[in-house]
Amino acid sequence: MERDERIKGGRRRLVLLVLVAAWLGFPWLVAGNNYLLSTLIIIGVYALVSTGMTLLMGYAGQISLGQAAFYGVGAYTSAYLTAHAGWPPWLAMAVGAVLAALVAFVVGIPVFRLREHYLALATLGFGVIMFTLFKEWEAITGGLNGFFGIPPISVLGMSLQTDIQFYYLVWLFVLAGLWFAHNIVRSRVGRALRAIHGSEVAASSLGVNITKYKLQIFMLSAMYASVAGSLYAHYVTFINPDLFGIVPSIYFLIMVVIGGTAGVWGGLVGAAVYVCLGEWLKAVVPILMPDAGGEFEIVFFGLLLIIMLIYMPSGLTGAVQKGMKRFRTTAGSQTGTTATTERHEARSIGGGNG
Amino acid sequence: MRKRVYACLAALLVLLVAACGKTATSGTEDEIKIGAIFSASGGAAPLGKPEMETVKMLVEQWNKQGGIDGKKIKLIAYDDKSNQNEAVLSTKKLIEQDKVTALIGGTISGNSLAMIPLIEKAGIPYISLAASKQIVNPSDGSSRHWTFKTAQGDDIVIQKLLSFLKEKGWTSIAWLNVANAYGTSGHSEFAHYAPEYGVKAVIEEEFEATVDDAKAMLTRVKKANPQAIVVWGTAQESAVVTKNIRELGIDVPIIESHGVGTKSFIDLAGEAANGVILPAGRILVADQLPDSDPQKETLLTYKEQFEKTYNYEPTTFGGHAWDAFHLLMNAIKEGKTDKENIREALEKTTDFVGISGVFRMSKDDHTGLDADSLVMVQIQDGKFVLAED
Amino acid sequence: MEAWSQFVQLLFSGLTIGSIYALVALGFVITYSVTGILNLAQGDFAMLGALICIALVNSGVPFVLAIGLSMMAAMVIGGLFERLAIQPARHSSVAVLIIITIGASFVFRGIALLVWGTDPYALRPFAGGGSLSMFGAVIQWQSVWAIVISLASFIGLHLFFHRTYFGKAVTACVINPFAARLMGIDIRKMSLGAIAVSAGLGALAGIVIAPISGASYDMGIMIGLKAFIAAVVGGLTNAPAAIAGAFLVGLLESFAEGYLSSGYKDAVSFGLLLLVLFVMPNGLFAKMTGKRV
Repeated sequence: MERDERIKGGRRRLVLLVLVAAWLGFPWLVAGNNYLLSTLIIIGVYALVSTGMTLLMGYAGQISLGQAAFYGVGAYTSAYLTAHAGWPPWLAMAVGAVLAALVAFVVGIPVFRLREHYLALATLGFGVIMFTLFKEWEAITGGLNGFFGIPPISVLGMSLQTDIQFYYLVWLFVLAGLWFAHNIVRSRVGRALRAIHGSEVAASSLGVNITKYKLQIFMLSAMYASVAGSLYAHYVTFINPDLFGIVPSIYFLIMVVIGGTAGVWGGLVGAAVYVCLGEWLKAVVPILMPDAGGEFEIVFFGLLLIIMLIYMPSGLTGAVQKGMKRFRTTAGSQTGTTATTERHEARSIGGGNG
Repeated sequence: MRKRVYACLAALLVLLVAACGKTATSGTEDEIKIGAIFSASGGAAPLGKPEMETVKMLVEQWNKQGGIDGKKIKLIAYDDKSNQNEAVLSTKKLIEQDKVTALIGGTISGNSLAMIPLIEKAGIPYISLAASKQIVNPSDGSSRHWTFKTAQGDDIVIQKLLSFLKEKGWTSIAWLNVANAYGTSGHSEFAHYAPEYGVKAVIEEEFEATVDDAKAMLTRVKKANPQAIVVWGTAQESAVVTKNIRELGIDVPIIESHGVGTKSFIDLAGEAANGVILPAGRILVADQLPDSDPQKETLLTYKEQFEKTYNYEPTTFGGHAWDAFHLLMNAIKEGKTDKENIREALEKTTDFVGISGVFRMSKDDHTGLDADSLVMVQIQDGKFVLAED
Repeated sequence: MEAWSQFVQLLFSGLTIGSIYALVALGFVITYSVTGILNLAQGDFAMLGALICIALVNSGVPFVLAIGLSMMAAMVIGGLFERLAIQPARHSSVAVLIIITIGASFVFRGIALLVWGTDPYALRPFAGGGSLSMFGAVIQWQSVWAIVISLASFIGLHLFFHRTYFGKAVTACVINPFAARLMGIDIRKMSLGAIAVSAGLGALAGIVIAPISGASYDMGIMIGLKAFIAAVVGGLTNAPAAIAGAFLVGLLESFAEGYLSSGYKDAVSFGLLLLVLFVMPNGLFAKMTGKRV
């Protein structure tokens, strides 16, 4: 038992090392190709949002159809405070996250008392109302004309202007976010959440305060999205309400579905696959169907969503995990050890086995 | 064990992303690479599609005639799907991977504005097809050294409209705009310039782009008793509002934006469209122009070629793309492949007869058009007719 | 007098758009009652119905026939949707099913984009474009058609559910699926039928509104969402209440637009949704509701 623990600890450290090396080394791998770095930055920003959503949907079992609203809160808070009020970017980002958490708190209290369909509708309604706010509150957000001229962010006095610098920053956040999520899942909060997800009635009868935990995770996912929004704002220096409406919320949902909620990494995987699929489609579609444009992408992702939910509801992480399990059992190895190990995975979206 | 799984996933991720970017084969010496980004799908497709088709048609034409000084033109065009992130990523791709010499595009103002910081930093000549004046004249003072545009800004269109209103003596009007970036841009320009022309809005309202029935809002307009109503939107929602105005029995003249200069508007608004007046590019009434008009021949040739290739009428937006392409070609002829020389040549453009107007660029004016590039047009019997100008 | 005519005008605007919401909301309620699924693609049936009808009319098909054919086409599409996307996932959780319908909405819209592009299309009004004047307000004849058709549909469906064998069979499925099966009623066919009928109703709604505000690939989104709100306000399983809810939403929007400002119209509707959800989740006309099938 102890030896297994030491082996696991060793493996864990190795994996961590590999990850950090990959993070640091990637720019050299692609010889500073800024387009790839850009793509990775966008993936990173999306991964932050979708990791938060994975916690919410996979572990707390709550669906959210308006997550982009929090993404917007972070973006506009950072934009306004840094451009118009001259605040330092890190402070603005922190304020954004706190604001997002507050909004999540206020909205979450009534919303989490609802069940299933109504919960989904309520998050949708919330998303639309926030979008209307972004659109109408022109004094702060610039309305539909957008908000441009967002100043860059700086680390230790050095202003981040190049893609390489931003890449390191964003992925630092992503890794920190993943690490934090992993710890949440293994903690008491995580266990409570999984109990709730499995059966609310049972959990509640065991004394678990359902609403409190759901609310906490909702607020956390809002903060993830908000930080992502702030980073995005400083990167592109121009934002407009269309980035934070219902359609982007659905795209974040697609990322979580693709990645699956079998593991904390689901959000990252989903974001990466989504962006890469998009780029791949951009390259391939004009060759196969010269007249079709982006319309094809919409159909493609719609179909993908349906097919994945029918045949792979646990997403890619779930599928890989099942594959590995099958591999292990056929190889006849250490099934005993796995049985006694704590399982940190969540069920698929909304409960039920994948 | 799971850690190994995740490590594999991470490796897969890295490979996936790396696969996304294959650096383009550095072009052969006798090729000039032009990058383009249009919103050929998504919300702005009615604007972006004709733009993309115009440029593709022109590139083919020019290459058939030998390109520029014997070098073929290689067009690398991306569809940004009316999505800002796509525009940004495509820009990066064009600059870093495809290594283009110059860039055309950015159908919507939002996308152009997102692309500009990248382009200015990279130092590439860029001609935008979007209207916002922030594209060449930013209120935050940021650099626009490399950026030009061929679409008249709303500031120019509004001034044309206002001078028309003043001429007709319609000085207390109702202002209605669609609740999106297009509408609010027009509104801010109106608010800015109206006092100069002695025009006052007795009521200002917004209507949604998805409006089914604006009569509720129009009851308030009727009450305010304007001399004329200005409706600032694009075809679909403006058609609804225009119909509603006539249905409520409001008889005053209706003046609309250049956004309704399409057949679609006439179809949708039906009988109500007749009598509507709008400022528009000369392309809408090309065959009615006096022969002395310097643009007439260019316009008719473009119309003919476009209709032959694509089977539908070209629009003002396709025209902006036509202008951008030709301006760029002329600049490349002069500046060869040196980006700064191309840029300078662009800036020095004078008396270039284009589709959108006659261009006169300068260091302070990277659009080169003024209110004269537009004409007042009226819809009569379901057709666009040149109103006295 | 002025204030009165404005009020009447707003009333009629509200009733017009309310009747469109009502048709779509009816579809929601039927789908939900019989299958327990919230179909977020319901609004897109309106879009498909409208665009198909316009395409048929433009290629010379007689008007009334075109309407019938496009409704049938929508029903076929709905049926396919049920068989291909819903049936395989019928044991999945609510959340999954909702997301599947979102995926279907994307697919419908994407296909509409590919076939029809982004241009808006026009459809001629049913009985000429005139309007009538009442109490100083103006109502288009097409609006009258809308109101009449939606009420007629409701009455027709009411009769169907209460007077015919099939209708009663459907009701049985909702109340007690097990017993229904014992009586020889095929639940799966009911599910297919329910979604097909909902699709047909949605298509009709789109066809009726098209002469008033045009048709384009994205018209379904907002119509669907507002009809949703109507159905929730009325209580998801209660058809007459959903209709009342639809007219309520329509009127609220109209009055908000008339007396306040248009920009906040959407926020008002969704605010109503949130209010109802938080305060009275079973709808304003809460009745005994059965459990999900």
